[in-house]
Amino acid sequence: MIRRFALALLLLVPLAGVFSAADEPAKLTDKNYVQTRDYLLPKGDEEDWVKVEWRTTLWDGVIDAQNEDKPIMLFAMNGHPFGCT
Amino acid sequence: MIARQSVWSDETVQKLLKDFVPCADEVWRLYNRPDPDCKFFQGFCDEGGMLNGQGMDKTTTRQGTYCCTPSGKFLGSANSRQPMVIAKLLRDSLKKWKALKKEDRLLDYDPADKVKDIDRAESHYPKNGMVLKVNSRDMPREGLNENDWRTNAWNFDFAWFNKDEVESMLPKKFEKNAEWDLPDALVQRVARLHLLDNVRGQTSIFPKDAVKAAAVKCKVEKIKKGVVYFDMTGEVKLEEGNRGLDASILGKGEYSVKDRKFTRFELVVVGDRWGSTRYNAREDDTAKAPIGYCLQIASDKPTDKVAPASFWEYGW
Repeated sequence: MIRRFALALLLLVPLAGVFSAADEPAKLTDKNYVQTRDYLLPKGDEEDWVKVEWRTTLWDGVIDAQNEDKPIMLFAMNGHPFGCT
Repeated sequence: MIARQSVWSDETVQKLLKDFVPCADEVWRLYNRPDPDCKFFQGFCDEGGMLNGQGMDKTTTRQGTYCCTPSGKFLGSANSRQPMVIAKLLRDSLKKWKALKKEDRLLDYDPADKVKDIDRAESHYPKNGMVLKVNSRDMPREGLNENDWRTNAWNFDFAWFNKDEVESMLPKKFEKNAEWDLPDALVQRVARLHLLDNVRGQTSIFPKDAVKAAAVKCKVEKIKKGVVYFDMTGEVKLEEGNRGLDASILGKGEYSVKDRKFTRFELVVVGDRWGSTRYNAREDDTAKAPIGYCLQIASDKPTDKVAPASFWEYGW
């Protein structure tokens, strides 16, 4: 596991150089903490969908659509689409 | 999960949505519960009848994209990750909307009056507590296809903590080098409900007896201008049948003594996962492989106020 994890981390461009040689034990450390965190967080266009003025429940949408005289578009998934789905 | 990025990030779709009130919701509850919002959905969801294939019955998922009027009239539906399919749905639905008379488009009562009759997890949002957004992603490894969406998949969930739980995370005394453990019950809850292999899609939680280890130790690094800066270290080991997680934890926290709240609470979890569940798209990827999680305080935006996927397990 250790060797594979080291290799995996070395494939991360932002993490390159942070970890020691692949034959040394690699683990989450204070030194690679920030780079690992930033890799895990959304980046680039991964969160472009939040540019839409979403209501996060159908009924919030019904209330606003009634007030604004607009049609409703509902995106419905197993698991809330803006949580774990 | 993919539609979040493939459809709703599309510029054409985003422009078309200006003529709509866009909303998102969890479909199982809408299709199965008796609350007013659920009855509203059940009134139109099966019109068209072909959303998820022929022969829809009670067990067929109603996942998809629907257009309707505030009065509950069906305008159209589709279940697609293709932006152009959804763009066509929006255009066609808008055309139908414009052909309707106002009295047919709108309800003859104020829907706000029904809010009190709607029971949903979001009403338990811990506004005086803390919410962590739990991001999950595979760590890079050899042999994956960069053109496969699964290679770069990212998912998230929310972990909630009420006011009492947040207070239980604090040490008895704030002083440099003070050490304490986060409460076992909370760490175990985070581990088995949120450190899941949901990178590619929903999965089931771990039962309580799957927790072989789950601990987070805290140590104050410094105290400056009323803010307590502390580090966190820990581990988690989960095993159930053919699946599991073996990971280490590091974290950083900042607690404002004056405001009596965490201004930073961040955990990074990296280790090996293995196995698969029915819907998490790991059927061809069951061997041990690296996975990572980053937990951070969520924003106040509505999209960050969605309930934890397994809220029913909280017992609140």
